[in-house]
Amino acid sequence: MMEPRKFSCMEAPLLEVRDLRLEFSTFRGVSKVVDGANLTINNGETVVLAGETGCGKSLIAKAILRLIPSPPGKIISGEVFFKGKDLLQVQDADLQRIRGKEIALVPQDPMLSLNPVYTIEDQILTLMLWQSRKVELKSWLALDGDKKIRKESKEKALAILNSMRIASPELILKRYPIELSGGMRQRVLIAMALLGQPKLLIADEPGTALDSTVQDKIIDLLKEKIKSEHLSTLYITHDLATALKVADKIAIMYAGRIVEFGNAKDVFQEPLHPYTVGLLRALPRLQGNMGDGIPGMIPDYVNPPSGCRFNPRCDHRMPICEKTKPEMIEVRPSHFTECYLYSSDRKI
Amino acid sequence: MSEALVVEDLKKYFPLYGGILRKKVGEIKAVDGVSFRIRKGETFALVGESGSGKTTVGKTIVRLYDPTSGTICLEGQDVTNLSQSELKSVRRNMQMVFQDPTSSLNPRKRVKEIVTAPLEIHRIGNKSERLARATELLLLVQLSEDYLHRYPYGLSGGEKQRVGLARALALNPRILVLDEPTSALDVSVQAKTLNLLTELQRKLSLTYMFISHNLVLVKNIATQVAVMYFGRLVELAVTEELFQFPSHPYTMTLLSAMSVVDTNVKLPASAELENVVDAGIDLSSLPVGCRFYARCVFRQKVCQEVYPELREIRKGHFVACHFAEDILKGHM
Repeated sequence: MMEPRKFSCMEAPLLEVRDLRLEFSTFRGVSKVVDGANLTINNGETVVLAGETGCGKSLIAKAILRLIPSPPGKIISGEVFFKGKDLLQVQDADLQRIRGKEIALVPQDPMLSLNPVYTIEDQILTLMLWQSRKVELKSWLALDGDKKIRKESKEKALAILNSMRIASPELILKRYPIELSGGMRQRVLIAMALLGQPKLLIADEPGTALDSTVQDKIIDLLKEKIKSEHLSTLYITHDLATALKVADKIAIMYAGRIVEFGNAKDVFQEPLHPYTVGLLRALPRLQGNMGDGIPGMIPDYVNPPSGCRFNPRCDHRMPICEKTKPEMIEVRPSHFTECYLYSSDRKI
Repeated sequence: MSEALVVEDLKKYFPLYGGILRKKVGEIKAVDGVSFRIRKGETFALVGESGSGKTTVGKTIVRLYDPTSGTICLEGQDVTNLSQSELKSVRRNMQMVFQDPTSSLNPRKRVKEIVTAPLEIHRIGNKSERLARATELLLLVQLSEDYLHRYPYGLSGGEKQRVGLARALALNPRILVLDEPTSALDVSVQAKTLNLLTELQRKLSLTYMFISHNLVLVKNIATQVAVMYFGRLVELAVTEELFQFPSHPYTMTLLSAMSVVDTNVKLPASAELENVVDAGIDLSSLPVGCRFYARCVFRQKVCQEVYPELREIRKGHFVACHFAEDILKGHM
């Protein structure tokens, strides 16, 4: 096990994903879905991981929490340092202490992520019990029998729902998920994620299933919470416009690799990687014309193109792009990209 | 005759059944009095949130649903009450492209069979002519001939949507109803599909009715925009006008909630929604007054009592709000 990288003059990052490789065995062969991803989140930062469908962005989130089903999934190599500990190496019991408490996840689909046969109250109280590490038969019974515990927990639940701007939390607690609107369900899920006062919040496309006006409000709410609770956030989205709203830093992912990383403003204003450039050009805008999109489609992960995985779709393809993988280089201060266009010895 | 499609006071109610005898206990008023006209060659966009009834309008127009009342005129011909057999000839002029490219293609049929199906139904050409037409159609939507023998599962989302488009174009229709044709696609593919649609419109002089929830996209493609809220139109105007002078509080809300990447563009002043309300209203028991009342910041007593009819406040700019003029003045 490698030691976390030492920083002499600055604080160690809260989360550092290093050279993560992830494979799925399918009937067609081994699908190399994440192929050496690096990602750093410092304290109090919101990093957006953006990319199109199937680029592996949700898998990184799942790998951080070790939620990849195995088999068929397998983490081949890599480290995920969280507060100096490699999450891929820690004992299951220790991981349980981190999951849901120190690292919380706001899942994508608000309907599928709540249990349809329990009321919101039951689900929140169960989570509280679990977080207080008293998951035994006794405590389950206490939840029903001991009025004092139940009352205290309920007050806490009400308080947190209130802070989510839910109008009448008492009513919401009594309801089943199906009786709530999509926006309400998403709010409940954010509340549940914040219950354990996590250090790191992983938000996997919250709000994509919702209408634009509701989505807008959910994102504002989430932003406000990130600020007031001093959360560090990994925000996963395919929508670059949303990314611009929330991000401090942005990582653009393509076919299992992070191809560009930098401050959100830099990436949007002066994108480096040809993929980012194409992606930004393809977005519909209020002024000017829409671009053409990017030709081709994402590669087959069983037989990915050699070298840079973007090379078959790239306008600036050079012979070297098909031979070896480009390294991540710092083109401008804290603006990184993986592309030979920017390497100092371009002739090779 | 410059109008391709005229819709007058279109209503579509779905019955609700309840009780042991499954008696009709109420109605869902999905579309409740919608009127608009689409000129030939234009792209008419219908915008609204989920559940506002925009897809129902689209499906009623192509008569996949029978309208409860109202009239639909297609190029001067009243198609509201035509029987299924009479509709067959009408449908040659009007086709629909569906939202979900996966579920709208039969997984057990090859692309060849999917694209030639409309020709077969209308008994056009013999087998080899149909096949030639299918090849031509695929080229039109920028797919190569090889795709003829493939099954839908082997295609990407964008390719499937183009097969759906080829099928809709098979009978040389003049009007296409496009129900969120790109909402299931990634941005890089979305841009390509939209450019293809614009090109086809020019080449084949098509009229589009474009149903969407994405305003930024609509701004790029539409000539006229209608905003729908719970079964009724609340605003209708030429695209430029609507984006510059939105005069219904709901349109303003939609515009301010738009996610855009143009950092240099200022969005219109946001009409803040009431913070707590994010649920809609019950479509089976609609309020008498304005349907946006509960979420509106400009609301007055009159809004709760009288429904604001759609009226023209500037040339070609229709708004259903009692205070549209005041809001409009605010922009000037």
